[in-house]
Amino acid sequence: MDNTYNSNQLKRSYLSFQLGDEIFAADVSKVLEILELRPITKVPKTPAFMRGVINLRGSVLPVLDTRIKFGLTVKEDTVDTCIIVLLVELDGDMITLGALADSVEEVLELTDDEIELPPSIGSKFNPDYLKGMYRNEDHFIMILDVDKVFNAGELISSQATISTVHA
Amino acid sequence: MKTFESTYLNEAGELLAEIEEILLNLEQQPSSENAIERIFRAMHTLKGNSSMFGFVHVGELTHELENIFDDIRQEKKSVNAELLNITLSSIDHLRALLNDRSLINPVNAERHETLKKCIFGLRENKCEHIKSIKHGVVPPKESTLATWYILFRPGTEIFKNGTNPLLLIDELFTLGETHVTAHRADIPDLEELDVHTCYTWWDIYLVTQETEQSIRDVFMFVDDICKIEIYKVADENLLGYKEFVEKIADIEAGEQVVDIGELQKYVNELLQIIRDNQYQEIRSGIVFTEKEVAHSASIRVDADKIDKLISLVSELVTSQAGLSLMAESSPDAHLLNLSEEIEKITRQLRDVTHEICLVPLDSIIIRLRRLVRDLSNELQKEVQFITEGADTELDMNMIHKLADPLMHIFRNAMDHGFESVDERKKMRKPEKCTLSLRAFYSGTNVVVEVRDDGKGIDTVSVRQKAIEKGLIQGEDNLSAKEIQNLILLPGFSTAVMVTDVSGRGVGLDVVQKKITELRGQLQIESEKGKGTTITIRLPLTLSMLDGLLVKVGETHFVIPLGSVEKCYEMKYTELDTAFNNAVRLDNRLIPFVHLRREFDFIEDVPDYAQIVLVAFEGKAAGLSVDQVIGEYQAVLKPLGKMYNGIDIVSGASILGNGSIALVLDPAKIIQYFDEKIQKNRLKTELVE
Repeated sequence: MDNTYNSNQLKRSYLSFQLGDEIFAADVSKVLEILELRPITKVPKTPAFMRGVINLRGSVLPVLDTRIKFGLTVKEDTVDTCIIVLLVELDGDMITLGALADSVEEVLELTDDEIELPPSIGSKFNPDYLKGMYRNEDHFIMILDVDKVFNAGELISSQATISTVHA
Repeated sequence: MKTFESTYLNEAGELLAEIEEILLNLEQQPSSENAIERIFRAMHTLKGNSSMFGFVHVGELTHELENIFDDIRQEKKSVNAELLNITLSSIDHLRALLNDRSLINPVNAERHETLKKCIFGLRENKCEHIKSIKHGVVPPKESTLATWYILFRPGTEIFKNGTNPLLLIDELFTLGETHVTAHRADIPDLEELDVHTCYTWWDIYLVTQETEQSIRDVFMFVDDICKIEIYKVADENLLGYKEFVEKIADIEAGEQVVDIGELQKYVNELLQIIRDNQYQEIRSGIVFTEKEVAHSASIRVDADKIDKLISLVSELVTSQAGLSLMAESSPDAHLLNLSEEIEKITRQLRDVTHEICLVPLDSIIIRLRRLVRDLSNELQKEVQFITEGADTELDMNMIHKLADPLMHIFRNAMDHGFESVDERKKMRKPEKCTLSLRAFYSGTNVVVEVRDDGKGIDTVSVRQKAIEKGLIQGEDNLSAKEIQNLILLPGFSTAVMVTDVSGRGVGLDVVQKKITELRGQLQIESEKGKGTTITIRLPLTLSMLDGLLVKVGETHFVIPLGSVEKCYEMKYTELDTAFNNAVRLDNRLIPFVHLRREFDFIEDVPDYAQIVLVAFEGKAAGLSVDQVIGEYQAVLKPLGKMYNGIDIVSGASILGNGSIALVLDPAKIIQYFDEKIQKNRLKTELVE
């Protein structure tokens, strides 16, 4: 059977959303739900991009501000601002977390062929975080590798920087 | 098939634990009732199951053991120390085999052969007969039960020879199930009553397997002054039949004198009816034996399911609090009623769910008993282990985590605590050491106390050692209690000789750490020459916490009530100008933590601050908050892996309105602050 050929033609769904002035997308299999913005409780002594925790039907959900993490402009919250609940692998455990987005755009159906490799140099973003890019008319949509974006080493290093600054 | 196998493994584990427990009991009380019978039965089940699931070696070894216990059962053999040792080792071995059924591990294979030889050796050796434990092996048989009617009419003079007839009846209770009716019709009015005269007489129904003679023996010394009539009513337990109990209640109500002939006739008729009914039931296939009923009384549930249930219930509690809040502000009376109703049910549901998670301490005591037994053999110290309050219940997760620290404490007591026999003789202490474990409830805590009557902690040598290890300075002045608590510090181990049992450099500090993780406290009290008591104080559950709800800026915090001492009010400006980061409270200079400043809540600072005085391990600190809202029972939620590095916040709780309160860990805040101050001091010193 010609599996490789088929798999490249197979359509996958991606949820696209806006962060700052850029459009990103994540594999829908990683997205559990999309929540309206609600008051977030900041946990003291945590880096700025860890916005805090919210109550998700009785469990505590950490919410991250990906805009700060990616160094994008942080806009004021609007009615469109929302929390995308993601299922992420962190050091071998599956955890749920929320990521803030300025707005959710649409669900795209893309085959693997349509996704281009990210440029390894000259990119604004760390290519390690990206699965690839997709050219949508006049702009690029960056497809995130969700597990890598929220990887633990990154979090620890940002925490370490914060605490040294404080000390 | 896999699921069947895991059921088998679970059950096998339980059967082995059961056998182990009975064996340990048997050792202490060789005459304990039907122990052999129970062991035999458990082994039989284990053997059957094992062969069925292909655990051939388990089956084989169990079969050999079963043979021995069969011999004992038939009194061809007796229980002795050797037998117990071999059987207990076999139990350990069988446990290992459950993970290594084909004897792949050569250690297991070798041990298997050795044990088999030992067991054969036991079988060969048939000649010994020790009568002392004989009565322990006679299984009480259901069929030998008989119902007796006893008329007990004490002579009116009975008090004069110092006999209390009630004690005689109490003695009958020890023979079996009883039903007692007191006849008080003869008691005269108060004016005529003579306190030295006995007016009462009794009808007693007794179900026992004892003979008429042993019933008569109870009344041996009052035979001459009392009227005692004993009749056998039936060769089975009549008190088990509702009809019979009703019949005797009738007789009782009518104050009639029992006519034994009539009673006998009634009983014969009753038994006939019951037999017919039973026959019918068997024919229609709806007979429930007692055993089946006992089985359905408890079910085995996966711990994960219970965890899920708890989390759902706490979710319900939170949603329900939101509902009450809404109902109270709504004009709709129906809604309010409904919400109150749901609140009631929710509370009950929550309590029942928490009860489900409670497990008696018993479950780890078996392990401890085994440990004591093995160690006392190894260390050649004779130890008597006493438990009290083994039925005290604790959260199952906590029990699980408590086992290791307790084992450690026990090992310590056995190894370092107890003197050798010679030393004890010299000190005129009883040769047998006593180790006791006492558990009881105290408020919202469970206290587990381990006491030994060993040599106690030698404060002089502990102090010496602490100085050597650089834990304290030579000139430090410490109280006896402070010195005793030094042994909880990391890297402290006073054993001069490192033995196999303890003293491998891992000390009581690990125990301390584990207990702190369970939000518990550890205390040591010791008197030289008399012994040591280690007290562990634990919260009743891990999922709930009594706390003080406070507000700083827009964020709610919960401070565990256990560490809160007092609250004070003060202007924020006073804190800003405070010298050396300390304020005077009740004439004490207390360092404070400016939470607003620490947590970067710099906007909208109110005029007044509340200072919550918290204390931990003798250190006190004030926490400045905007508002103290009140006591709050928090359902604890973990913050999750993302917040692993944050230790001043130990968890979160969801408030009635759905928002989140963060649970602060005062110990960590004090510690964090201590370090910060010291760093600052260092810095200023460097600058100077």
